[in-house]
Amino acid sequence: MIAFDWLTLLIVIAGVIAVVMPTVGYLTLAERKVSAWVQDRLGPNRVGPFGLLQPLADGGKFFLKEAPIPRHVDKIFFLLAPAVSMAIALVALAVVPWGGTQPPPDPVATQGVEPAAVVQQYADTQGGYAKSFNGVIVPGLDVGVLVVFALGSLAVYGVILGGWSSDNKYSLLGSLRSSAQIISYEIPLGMSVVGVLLFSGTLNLEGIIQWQKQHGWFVLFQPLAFLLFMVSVYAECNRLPFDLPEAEQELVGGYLTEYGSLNFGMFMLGEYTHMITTSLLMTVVFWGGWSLFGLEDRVTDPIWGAVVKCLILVTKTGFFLFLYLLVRWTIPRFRFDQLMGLAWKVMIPLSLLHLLAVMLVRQYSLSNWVLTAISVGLFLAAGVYAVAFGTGPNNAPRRRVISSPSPPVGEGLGVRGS
Amino acid sequence: MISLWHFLGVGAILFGLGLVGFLTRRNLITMFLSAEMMLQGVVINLLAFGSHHGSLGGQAFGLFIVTVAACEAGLALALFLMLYKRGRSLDSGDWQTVREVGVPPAVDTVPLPAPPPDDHPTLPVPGRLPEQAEVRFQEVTRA
Amino acid sequence: MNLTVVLFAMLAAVTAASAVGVAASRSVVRAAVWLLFTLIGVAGVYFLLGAEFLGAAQLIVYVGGTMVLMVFGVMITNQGPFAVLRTKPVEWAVGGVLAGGLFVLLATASLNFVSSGKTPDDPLPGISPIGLSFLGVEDGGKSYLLPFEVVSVHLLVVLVAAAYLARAKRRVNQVASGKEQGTNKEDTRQEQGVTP
Repeated sequence: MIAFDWLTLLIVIAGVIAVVMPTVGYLTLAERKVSAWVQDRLGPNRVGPFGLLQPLADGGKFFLKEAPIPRHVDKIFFLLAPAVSMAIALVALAVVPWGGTQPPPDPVATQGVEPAAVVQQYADTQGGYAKSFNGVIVPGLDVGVLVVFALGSLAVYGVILGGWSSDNKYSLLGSLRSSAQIISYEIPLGMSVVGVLLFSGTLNLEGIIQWQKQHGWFVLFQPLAFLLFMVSVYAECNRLPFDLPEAEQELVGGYLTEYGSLNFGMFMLGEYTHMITTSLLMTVVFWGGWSLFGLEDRVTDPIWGAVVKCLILVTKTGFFLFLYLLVRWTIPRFRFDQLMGLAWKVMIPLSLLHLLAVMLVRQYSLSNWVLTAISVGLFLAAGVYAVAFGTGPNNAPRRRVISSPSPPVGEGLGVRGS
Repeated sequence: MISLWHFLGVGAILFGLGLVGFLTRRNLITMFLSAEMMLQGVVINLLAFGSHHGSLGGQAFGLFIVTVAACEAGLALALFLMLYKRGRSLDSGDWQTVREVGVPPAVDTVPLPAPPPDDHPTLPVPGRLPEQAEVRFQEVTRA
Repeated sequence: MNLTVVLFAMLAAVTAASAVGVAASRSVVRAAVWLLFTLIGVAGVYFLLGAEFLGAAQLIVYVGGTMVLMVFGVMITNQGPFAVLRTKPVEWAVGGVLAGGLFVLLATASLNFVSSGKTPDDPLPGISPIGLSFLGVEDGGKSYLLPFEVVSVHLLVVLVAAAYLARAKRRVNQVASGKEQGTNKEDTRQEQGVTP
């Protein structure tokens, strides 16, 4: 039975909030700084040195402003939606490792052993595992990856609820777009990880790190899977190439249109927390987690070792977070049919082929590097296919365009009255 | 301490509430939602007994039920869309024509409301319409 | 106080309260959203029962996929006089009495178990035994290979059937009435949208 008391629970909750809130705050600052850097501006630089106190000012503003609730909304669900969005993002953070970890013990063989001995052995291994240090809030969860995916798919409900209860056409359109997008991109997301799971033989994130520590990082063997995973994750987070649910230029703010002050802040918190979770997940599943070519084992002191592992993991995660911010200001937004076409016509076939390759390599016990070659080959083949047999750039209008007679000069908008 | 009957109680609550919904509603979608809730109650029962006996059967059956329920949901949604396209109504009383051969049609004491005219689709209205506010605004401007 | 007790109380309260919401709400969309919270609570109960894989699968399959589709369908078909459901008191009485009787029966039956049953704290079978038994490797337990295959084929058949049923069709009555000859509704609307 798990030891439990209210004090520990409160300390853990306070600790998680105390770590996540400033991280998210400084992530928003980093976003604005990166955008300023990309666009050759200065960015926020008024509050504190280099604008470093800007998140505090923003947070204070969120708390102090009035929370407007329009009269026509469905009040219960309107207020529930930001809470759902934030709570689910925070729960997903519980499963992802943020420091050094031990894989949980394997099940023991029970044939030909006395029951009492089996029970004793089980208790020993479990006790040893419970004593070992683990940088996860919920260590040893057998279905780690599945839980993260499940919670990621739940995140769409904050969007749907908010969009529907706002009673606003822009909001509803945004939430419908979001649901279609997340359903589509969950398929390549799941299938790209299945290849990893076939190798590691476990769904447990700590176990996946352990496999990579022994055999090498998965990104070396399955670069295509990593690419598919990263693109799908960007779509799940509603980040810019895929931010159709909240496209400011078309939908005002999508599902965020009617929200203000702390409700808006909770949506933002959920979104950025989701970014942190997925960056950690990318690091853990494909980039070896806390391992760095055995360098982390040079530090033998247990406390310093834990610190070093945590630092390695955080550095890798920070790189992916930076990539998130950079991509936002680099790639323009897709059109909706392009978005769906990318998921269903490109990414799902590619991930299926990749999965087939993984199965073949596993079945015939080929070298892992064969898989690397197949990955690169598939990627190049897809490009060649698109260039050779594709119908050109996918930005021509699909419907029949009827040219309208041009209005006479002087009858345009704003001229008529003069 | 939580024991078997606590879980069985949750399952019974879900099943009972689902039964209430199924018996009292006539909208096909709501009936379907209630049926799903009853199914969940059953799965809780299976799992509770499975963990009570420490066997695998409960979980295996639960997985099968989840799979079959997913199939059922997809098919039901397709059927609903088709029925709605045809008759502009999802009231189960409106679909007397799909009853079995030899069964007399059920007659409603109160006639059903007429199906809406085939119009452009409109968005659902979750809350109150802001008509009153507009009226007041017009009054103010008139004064 | 015990973690299991606290968690069970919270999950059961959430599940039951939102189940009441499903049965009592008069709007279809609200019923669907309350059902969503019921399903999340039930998934939590699965976790508590040690069926972690089933809980995660429930969240992904049911809550993630099915409910998105349901909410979708509900929102689009939710208009006209059927948007708000009205139920007569007699129907409430009949349904309530039947369900209440069934609940009492089930509750008494399950309370009888506590006297005869035991409450084992044993570790439950994890994921790998389930996977092995689904793939037909008989590891002391039973093999579920045949039902597994049947269910997968069933899933495929249903997928095809649903796609066939819900495919876009031409409106027969409109073509017959001569209003929009030769074109279906979407085309005309798009053309209207393009011409100023």
